[in-house]
Amino acid sequence: MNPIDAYVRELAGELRAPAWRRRRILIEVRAHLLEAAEAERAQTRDEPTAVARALERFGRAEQTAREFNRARRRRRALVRRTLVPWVAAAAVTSMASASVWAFEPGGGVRHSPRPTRAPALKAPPASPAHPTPPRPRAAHRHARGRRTR
Amino acid sequence: MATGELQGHVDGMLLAVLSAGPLHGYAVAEELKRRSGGEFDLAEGTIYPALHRMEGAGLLSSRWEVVGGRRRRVYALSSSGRRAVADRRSTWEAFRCAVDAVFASEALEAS
Repeated sequence: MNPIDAYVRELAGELRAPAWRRRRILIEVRAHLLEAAEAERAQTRDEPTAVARALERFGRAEQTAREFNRARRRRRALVRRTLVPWVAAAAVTSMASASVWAFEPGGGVRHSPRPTRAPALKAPPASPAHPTPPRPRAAHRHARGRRTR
Repeated sequence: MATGELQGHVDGMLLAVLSAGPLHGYAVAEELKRRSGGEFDLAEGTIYPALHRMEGAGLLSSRWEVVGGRRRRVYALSSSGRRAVADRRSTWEAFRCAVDAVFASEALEAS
């Protein structure tokens, strides 16, 4: 295995990142090292020396991984600090809204206890003591006619 | 210049380098070296975590590009990144003027 691939493999072992991010980092690092080695080769004309100089310029794999891992920890801490209060606030708000809805009149919870026995059959409405007889239509018409005259 | 003295300035300098136009990681490292006259002895591997971090913060955008059959990631400033460069430049100017003034006073007192 050439030194650049060995470096990339070592970096892959040190990185703590999701697979997609790790792949992206490794592609970038490998491309950088190959380009640096090409530039060094133009000066030294010696392949092993050029690769060694490119690796030296880039820094140790452990150090690079540590920087990436630190950046990831910061990012996750920031997400936690930002999201957790919002999620907690949303949860409290929704619970409060649910409680208000449940106990308001016509809401989800009844205030009066449900009857344990079946209600008695409805009796027919009692007739009033002095019912008013309906007014005959003819008499009504007559009365109205007399009034208009 | 030692790496420790660059701490805290790397992000701003990377943004400044990218303010000239989109570049891939290797070109960013080369441009940083060229602009500093070779003064900054920065491990090139440390620029990638910084670029990724600033992309996550919305200061940069990036896309893949294939050149000579090799994939490379090209970074560009976002509008927030352009504002950040302007902010950092003015902060740096104020800091530099203050440090210059302190050193000038010291030189006068010594003479």
